[in-house]
This record gives sequence, structure tokens and C-alpha cells, in this order.
Amino acid sequence: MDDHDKTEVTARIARQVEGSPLLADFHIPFPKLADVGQLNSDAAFTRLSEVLGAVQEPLTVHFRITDEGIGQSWFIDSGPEGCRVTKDAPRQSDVEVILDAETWNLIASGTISPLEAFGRGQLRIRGDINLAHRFVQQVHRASAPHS
Amino acid sequence: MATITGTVRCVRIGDEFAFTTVREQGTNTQETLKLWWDGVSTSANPAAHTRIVQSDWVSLLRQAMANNILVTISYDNNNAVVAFVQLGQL
Repeated sequence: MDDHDKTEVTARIARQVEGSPLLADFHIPFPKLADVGQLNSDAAFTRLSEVLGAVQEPLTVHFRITDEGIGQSWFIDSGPEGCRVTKDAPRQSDVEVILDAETWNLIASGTISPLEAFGRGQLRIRGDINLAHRFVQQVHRASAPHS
Repeated sequence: MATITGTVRCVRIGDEFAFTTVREQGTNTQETLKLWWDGVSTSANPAAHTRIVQSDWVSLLRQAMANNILVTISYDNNNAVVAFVQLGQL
């Protein structure tokens, strides 16, 4: 798929999810956590936990990322006390996100949205979709410029 | 190819896409799967027989949801695009 096709798909998804607040929120790219092609997942997840900070209701999201057949896990564990990233499960995850390292690089660099990755067949979500929605809302709220 | 067997929690159909959410039997974990997404994960202009199959999938999922019958859905392990929908057990 060339750049023109990618732009077409991005625009198509935006059109298709218009009017669906839940899906539209998933189509907002993450804040830039790393540069494209310069991904250090540990640093990107640490940055994500810093962006999130403390949230009112506890939520644990498990990112399972495969790179050349080898799987690694990162857990974003957020709550009123703050947000931390761990490599071991702090408790049972509310949501599991399964993707490969290349896709995580594109999401972490803000190049594509989680919904676009899902639509392109590069990401799976296991768990309560409403909790996944709450997570992306928290990310967007925390990364939005304060007025 | 991966499979999930469970109960249907949701079928969501938009203008050019459809998703379903299944709660897996035993683990109670939900997974959201794509039935189709025109021009994104499936063809922008699918053949007539594809539309018929997609319509059959929705019928089976609706039946399963309404009657709490187990469904088994096969999908690509990496991308959650549905390949088969089965109502009940073989």
C-alpha cells in the first residue's frame, strides 16, 4: 500500500466512524511517544505512563507486542495514585492489546490511530471494549494542551 | 487460524463495516472481531456472494445472541478478521 492509499484509508475510516463517538475516539492518534523508526518500547511505555499520570478509576492495560516471533508484555497500570509501567502483570488486566512491533512503532509515533491499526488487521483487542475506550479517552485528555 | 467459542455480546453494523464482540466460554474474556470493513480490511467492492455470506453471518450471530446459543468464530490469528461463523457445536 503506497502513501496515497494509506491516506485514502485514513480518510475513509474517519468518514465511516463519523457520528460514532466511541469509534471516533479510537481514531485519534496517540501523542508522539517516539520517533518513527526510532522505537524503544520501554521508553515509549514509560512516556505513555507519564502522559497518563493519575486517573480516578483504576485500569490495567496489557500490551502484548511480538517482534520477529518473540512476544513481550508491558502493563500500563493506572489509578488514583498514579500510573506505572511494568513487565509483569500487577493484577488481572482489564484490556489486552495484541500487535506487532512495527504497528506499535506507528501508533507510538502518532502515525496511525489504534482504530486504523485495528481496521488494517494489525491489532487485536481482548477485554471490555468500553474500558479500552476509557483508556484512549484518558490518553487524549492527558495529552491535550491545557488552556 | 484462531477460534473463539462463546456467547455473542454485541453486533455492530455501520455503513461499510461490521463488528461483533464475543465473550469466550470458560475465560469470560471478550474479543472484538471484524466481520467486514469495506476498503480497509476487506474489499471495497465485494462480490455478491460475499455480501450474502456476510448477511448469513449476521443472521447466525443475531440468532445466537437472542437465544444465548454458543457460537464458534474462526479468524486470522493476527488480525481478527472473521473467516467462519458457526452456530452451535459440530
